[in-house]
Amino acid sequence: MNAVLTAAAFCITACVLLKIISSETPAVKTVCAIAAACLVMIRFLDSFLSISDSLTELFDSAGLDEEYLRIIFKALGICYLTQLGCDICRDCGESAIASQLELFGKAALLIVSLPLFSAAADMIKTLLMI
Amino acid sequence: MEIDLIFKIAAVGIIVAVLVQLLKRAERDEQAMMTTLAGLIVVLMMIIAKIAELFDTIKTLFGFY
Repeated sequence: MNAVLTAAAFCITACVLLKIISSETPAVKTVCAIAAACLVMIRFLDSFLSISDSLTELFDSAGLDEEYLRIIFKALGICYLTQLGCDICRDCGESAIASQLELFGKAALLIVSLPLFSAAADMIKTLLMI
Repeated sequence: MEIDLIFKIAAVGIIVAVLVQLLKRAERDEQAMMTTLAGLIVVLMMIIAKIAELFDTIKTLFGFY
């Protein structure tokens, strides 16, 4: 609860500062926005670390393969990175670059999750055999 | 979260803006442009460590090897 409050205050302060410098030095403004985004994300990921341990335990108790959880985490990481990159590009007004990055992210996600598709296909195959 | 870093970057932005205005009034446009560039590089050097930290965190947390 307190962490969210801190993050909100941080973001609002950053926004006000960005507004002040945006008209005079747009380049520095962009860098400042990237810095603010990175700092908030680092803090979020630190708190996410505690969730990931309990998530692993939950997966273990469900008797599912550890490999699947790793794939899910990898996909989540790709999504975060792609979203951050796209948003920064869009803030700079470069929507063409942003959509290319989006495409790249989609392809990477597909490559990472390909083993899951083949596992699902195998499962269907065994079900049909029975 | 280190709000100091954001304050620092904003301060650099404001100082660069003032310097650019002064230099433009003194009709030294090239130096004004160089000042902008210098400010940008200084700010980039400030945040490059943070970006590296973010990428490292993502790498270790989400298992990119």
